[in-house]
Amino acid sequence: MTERTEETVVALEGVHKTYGSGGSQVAALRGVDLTIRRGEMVAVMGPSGSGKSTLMNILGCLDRPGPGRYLLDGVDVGRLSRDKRADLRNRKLGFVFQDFHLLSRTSALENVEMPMLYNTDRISGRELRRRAEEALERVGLADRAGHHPNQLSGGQQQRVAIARALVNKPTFLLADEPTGNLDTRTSLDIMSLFQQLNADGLTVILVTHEPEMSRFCSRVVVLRDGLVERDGPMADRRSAKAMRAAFDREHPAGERRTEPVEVS
Amino acid sequence: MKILIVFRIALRAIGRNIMRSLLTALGIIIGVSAVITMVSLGEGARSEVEEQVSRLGQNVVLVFPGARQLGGVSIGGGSANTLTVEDALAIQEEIPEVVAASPEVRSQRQVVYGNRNWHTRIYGQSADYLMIRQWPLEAGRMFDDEDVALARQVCVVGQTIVDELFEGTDPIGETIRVRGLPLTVIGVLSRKGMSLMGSVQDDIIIVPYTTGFQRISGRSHAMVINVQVFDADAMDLARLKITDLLRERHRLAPDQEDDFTVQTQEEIAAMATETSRVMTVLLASIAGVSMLVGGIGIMNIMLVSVTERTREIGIRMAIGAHGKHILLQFLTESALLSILGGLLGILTGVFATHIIAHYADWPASLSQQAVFFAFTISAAVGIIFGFFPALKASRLDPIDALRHE
Ligand SMILES: Nc1ncnc2c1ncn2[C@@H]1O[C@H](COP(=O)(O)OP(=O)(O)OP(=O)(O)O)[C@@H](O)[C@H]1O
Ligand SMILES: [Mg+2]
Repeated sequence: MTERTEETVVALEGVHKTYGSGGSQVAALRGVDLTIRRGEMVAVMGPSGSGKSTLMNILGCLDRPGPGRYLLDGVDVGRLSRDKRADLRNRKLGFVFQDFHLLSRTSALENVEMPMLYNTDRISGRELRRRAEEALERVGLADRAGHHPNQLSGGQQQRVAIARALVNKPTFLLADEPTGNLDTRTSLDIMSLFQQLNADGLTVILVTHEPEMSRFCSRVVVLRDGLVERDGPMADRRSAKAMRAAFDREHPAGERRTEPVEVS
Repeated sequence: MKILIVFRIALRAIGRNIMRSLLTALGIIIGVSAVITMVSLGEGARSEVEEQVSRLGQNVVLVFPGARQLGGVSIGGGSANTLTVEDALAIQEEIPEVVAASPEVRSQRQVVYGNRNWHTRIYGQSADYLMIRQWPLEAGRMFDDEDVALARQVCVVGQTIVDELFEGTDPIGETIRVRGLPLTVIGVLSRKGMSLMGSVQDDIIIVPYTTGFQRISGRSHAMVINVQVFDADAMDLARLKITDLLRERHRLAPDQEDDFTVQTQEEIAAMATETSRVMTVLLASIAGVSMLVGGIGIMNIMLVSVTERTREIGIRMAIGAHGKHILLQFLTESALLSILGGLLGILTGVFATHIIAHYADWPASLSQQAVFFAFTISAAVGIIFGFFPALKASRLDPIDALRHE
């Protein structure tokens, strides 16, 4: 049932993942088939413990699949060495995490520069800086380049993380509960940023618990007990930007839209 | 990955916790400064001994105060006060094999001439001293027995003194001052300067021992007695006779040890070599132990650092860092930390050497070899002891590392 076309970015074929050994084995994934095409924006949903993060780790080449195959742009990731997978993560993938995972006491700009340090490309220091600034500009944080994470709100930190994920021009973006630590208003901002990046052609795969967030995606995959339970297009896709405007109308007491709520 | 950026990251990690970094490097600081100080002091002592050895003329026997020390030449001139001027006179008069004997007293003093001054060694000796040493004069005369008997304030100066105090002009007849005591220059020694130790030997002022004892050093006992024997074949005999004579004079019972030491030039040379060998072994073990302790300190703190920064490592790996990038990052950090310790240790050691040389009147000479060696070793220690923590960091699993609290 896996049809592969040129547009296929990700193809999972019967992927299993089992943690632990002996009697205390946990089968986190039990044969997942999934094909994702270029330009999709996929929400992965499912109850806690259903294997969403495990799936993301495999998609993100952080972990190898057990039995089963994972083809990323036609390359069998399961057969790659540790360093080769690191190179894939560096070049083709962008990660966004629930708790941001920025380096503290390092400026936003340097956080964004970091993926380029582990590149084999020869980039001059000036070019490094230029690309990082460009990425920050894309997420609307050009004026915060010198700030450290503890001087930024949660939403701003998440945007720095997104800029970091974008800086090497990845094939697709992986986000595990990117709005899990954010309030509604900020979540809508982040989702509208994802929608905009998606509209510009970037493939996005994100895990979310919140049904409202899944409605901004083009497709929803629901996992249960390590298997794909449901997989289909989002019938009634919404615009996060419009929702954000509506939210502001309903909660006029809120600050102006340029000031997200502080998350410590 | 750019090496400059690796250095920047490492420096920042060290700078983030200056106090901890300094305490970590303390082992290296102490080790390196101790080694540099001791090597420099040892070097100074060794060149002093070499100087003494090379100072000896032919068929010369030296009598030192105090019992024979284990592997040691009495360098500072005897803590023991067992040799008197009369002992020297008795050796000269009563032993037929002896040509001359000169009781010696040394002091390090500031010497003033006009508005110039110079720090040098002043030797009190007998009138026969230059003969014993076979050291000719270039100009003027040596003081004679009468000058010695009357403790006249006269002196003979080496070439370094002529250069430094008199700027090459004729010093004969001029008066120099040592702590207010005027000394008239009556002779100039010929230059020894061609030999390795020459310039050190030329840095000397010789006065009658009576003047040296009473007016300059304030001591009453000889630091060495320089004895010349008339023939090389008579050395052993002379030595036995000197021993018998001094034992008798010092009223030592047969079961008592000698309270002096008689040594020939060859023995002293051999001993100096042995001493410096023992010293080297000793220093090497001190260096080894302190570097080991310093290295373990670094390893310990790097392990703590790896644990503290597990999440950072996870983030870097998730973003594409290879194990070797992480390894390099932590190795650079530990190497820089220990090189920092090495540099601070060198500074402390150089400072301590100068202080001790100045206040303890010790002829220290800063050993450049020791400085270079200390630097290299501290860099090596950082890399060797940082390797295990760095390896541990580089082998972390990115998923586990990211989940680390
Ligand atoms: N490192 C691990 N060792 C052992 N078991 C694990 C490990 N990681 C995940 N599991 C187990 O695998 C299963 C799937 O976990 P996973 O983290 O993928 O769930 P999830 O869908 O992301 O849940 P949540 O929504 O709570 O984040 C769970 O039963 C979990 O206990
Ligand atoms: Mg999860």
